[in-house]
Amino acid sequence: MRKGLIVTLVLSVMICVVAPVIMAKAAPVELTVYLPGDPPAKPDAVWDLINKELEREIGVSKVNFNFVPWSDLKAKLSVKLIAGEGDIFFDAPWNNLNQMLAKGAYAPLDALLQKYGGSVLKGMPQPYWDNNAAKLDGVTYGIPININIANYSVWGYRLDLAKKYGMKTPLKSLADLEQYLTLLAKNNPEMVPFTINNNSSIWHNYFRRQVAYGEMGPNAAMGYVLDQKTCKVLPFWEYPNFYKDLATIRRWYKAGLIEQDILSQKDDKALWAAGYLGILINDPGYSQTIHLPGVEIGGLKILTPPQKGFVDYAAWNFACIRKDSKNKVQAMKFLNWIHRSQANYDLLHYGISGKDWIPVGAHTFRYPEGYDPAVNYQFPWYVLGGDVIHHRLSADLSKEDLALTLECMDAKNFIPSRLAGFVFDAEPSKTEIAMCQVLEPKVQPYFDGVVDQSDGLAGVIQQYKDAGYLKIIAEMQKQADAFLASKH
Amino acid sequence: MHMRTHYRFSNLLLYMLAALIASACLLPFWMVVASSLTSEDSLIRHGYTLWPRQFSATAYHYIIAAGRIIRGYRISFAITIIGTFLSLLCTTALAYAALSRKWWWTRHISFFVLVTILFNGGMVPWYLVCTKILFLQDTLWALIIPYLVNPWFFFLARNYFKTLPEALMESARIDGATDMTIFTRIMLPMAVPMLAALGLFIALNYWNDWWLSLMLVEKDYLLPIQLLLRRMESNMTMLYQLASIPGMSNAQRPPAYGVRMATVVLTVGPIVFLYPFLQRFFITGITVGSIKG
Repeated sequence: MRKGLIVTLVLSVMICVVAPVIMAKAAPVELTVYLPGDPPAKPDAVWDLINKELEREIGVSKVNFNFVPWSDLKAKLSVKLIAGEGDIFFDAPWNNLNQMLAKGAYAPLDALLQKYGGSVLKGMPQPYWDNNAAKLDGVTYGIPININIANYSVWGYRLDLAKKYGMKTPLKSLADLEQYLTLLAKNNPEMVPFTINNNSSIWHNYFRRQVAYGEMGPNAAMGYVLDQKTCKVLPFWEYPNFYKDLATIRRWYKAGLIEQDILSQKDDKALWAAGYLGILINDPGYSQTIHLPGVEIGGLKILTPPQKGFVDYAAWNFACIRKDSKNKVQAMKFLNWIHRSQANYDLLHYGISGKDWIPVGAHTFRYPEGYDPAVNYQFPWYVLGGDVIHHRLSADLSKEDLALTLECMDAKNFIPSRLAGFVFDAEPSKTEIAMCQVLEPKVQPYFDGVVDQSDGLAGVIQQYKDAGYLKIIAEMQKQADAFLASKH
Repeated sequence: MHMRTHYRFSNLLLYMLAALIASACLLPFWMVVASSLTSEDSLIRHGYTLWPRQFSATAYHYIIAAGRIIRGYRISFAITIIGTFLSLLCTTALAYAALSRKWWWTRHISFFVLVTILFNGGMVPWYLVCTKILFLQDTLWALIIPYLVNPWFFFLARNYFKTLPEALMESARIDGATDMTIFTRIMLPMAVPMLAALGLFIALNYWNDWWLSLMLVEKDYLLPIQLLLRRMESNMTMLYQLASIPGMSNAQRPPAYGVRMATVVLTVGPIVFLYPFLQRFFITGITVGSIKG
């Protein structure tokens, strides 16, 4: 009797000790990822495959992708972070990144990257890691997401119309563009030749970039650094060719080449999509992204060659791991899995080969016949996992577009900005910035050619000076110089 | 003779004024419906018009194809009906208890509820209570329980109950009625106008809500129509603004302007159909809880 009791006691103690260990080993690890946007259509087939591979390779039984609407991104993600849920988070400087870094909500990634994230490090060129905006006091907290070095924008124009008017295509200069617009205004009066959303202006988005590209200058303060040797901050009226370009825009406006109601235009993209616009700004890939059925799109690079644009290696989006997540190692292993091979990258971003996409060679792909984003899988690279070496280009890019896209993926086509990594702290000049922002609607008519520059531009510039604009410029110069000094 | 023409003329004036105000209320809504049935092309080119220049139901097709609308409607109806019923029950029961003088602490219920109007722990504590203490996440109850007792509606019910004759309750109690009997068989039947008005407010609360599902629910099949439409709208707007979406050609571009109008129609439609039936309660019920003569 006593012996039986002792045996039972010993056995139960053993079970109590061993069981938790066994349970812990058997407990499946599930990762939760929070991303913005729309979930891909019918993702289960693809995600099941991913989960199977992850289970086999890194012991993660399931990855839960949770998509949050863009408009609610800030609110929802910050609540989840603070309440202690989720493992991998999308974040960005334009979202919550700076606040969350200050709060210490994300885990430091240096050790994890060194140990488990080799492929992650290889996926992005080293300057991206050096100028990582998700770094605080030298510690990395976020993985940059980008698929090229920088973007050269283009004047996207209707190649079919240019050919119809008998022009020599592709267009090669601003003079060609002017002729194209003139012919368009004459032959297709129902179309709008050229316009832009009223939250930007023609000088700012087009002509300014014709002179220099990627130059440092936060829009709020409108100060620009072009000369890499002196790193002098310029007010906008000292921008090279400023008055000459304004005169050109004014001439275009008077000739009817620019929409007369440009200051109230709200949606230039929709106008283009309906086939009523002659020129639309876009990025490499334009032959697909602003594609119109049955119509060829041409793109003249904004930036007069042979100049090169500046690049500051600042990614827009980042992937971060929550500080108190219990699955930090598995999260890093999952991120590493994405970048480890082309097959993994393809599976996550493009879906099942042959069904959702068709590989064309090693670096391009095509969508199959009858592709419908409402039904076929499509995972946006810019929310998770996009990297420079694995990203596939569309095989349907026009020759011109492909050349530009490849140009944007090669670092030797850009000049590294000396101010890469510099973030202007707007706090000391926030009053002046607020006062100058009030003046923006006053200066916009000049930037769009609606009002002649001889008619009051000098007065508006004086108003800027009175509002303390030059103080902002001086503050920017001071901070930039301090940044450059600290780099050496 | 004179009096009648004068009467007719001022009547005419009043009718015209009423017609003007009515059309000012009706026109925007009419424009929304008309625009939702206009083709995207026409909307971009000519803007919103009173009569569709070019009929097209693509906006509705897009929403129904991409949005899992039927399931969303089912969830919305479910939470509205169940939620309104339970909320009415809880709110009126709490109001009854707040007026009871049985124990010393029942007098302080009103103050307790008042404090929740004035002070509030914030979003994160609320979220922690709902998920870590009540374990509501990913359940249908997550969309019902947080709105069960609204302090404003509590005060409305309490004030209305206060206007009911106390003598009636006393005599019922003397006759041996329990609290439950008094509540269900005397007070609630006497409070029908208040219940109807309150029910309408609560139903609107539940029907229009997207916040609870945004925060507490991840599973797709539990999302009410409001969140589905909001999500579709927000993501579509974002896609328009993002510079490059590889593979997304204009032919597949969703009809944004039409969809915006169509979402308004789909969201408001059921409520608009409901209003005529509840109108008489609404008009009398609006003054409920105010001074009784």
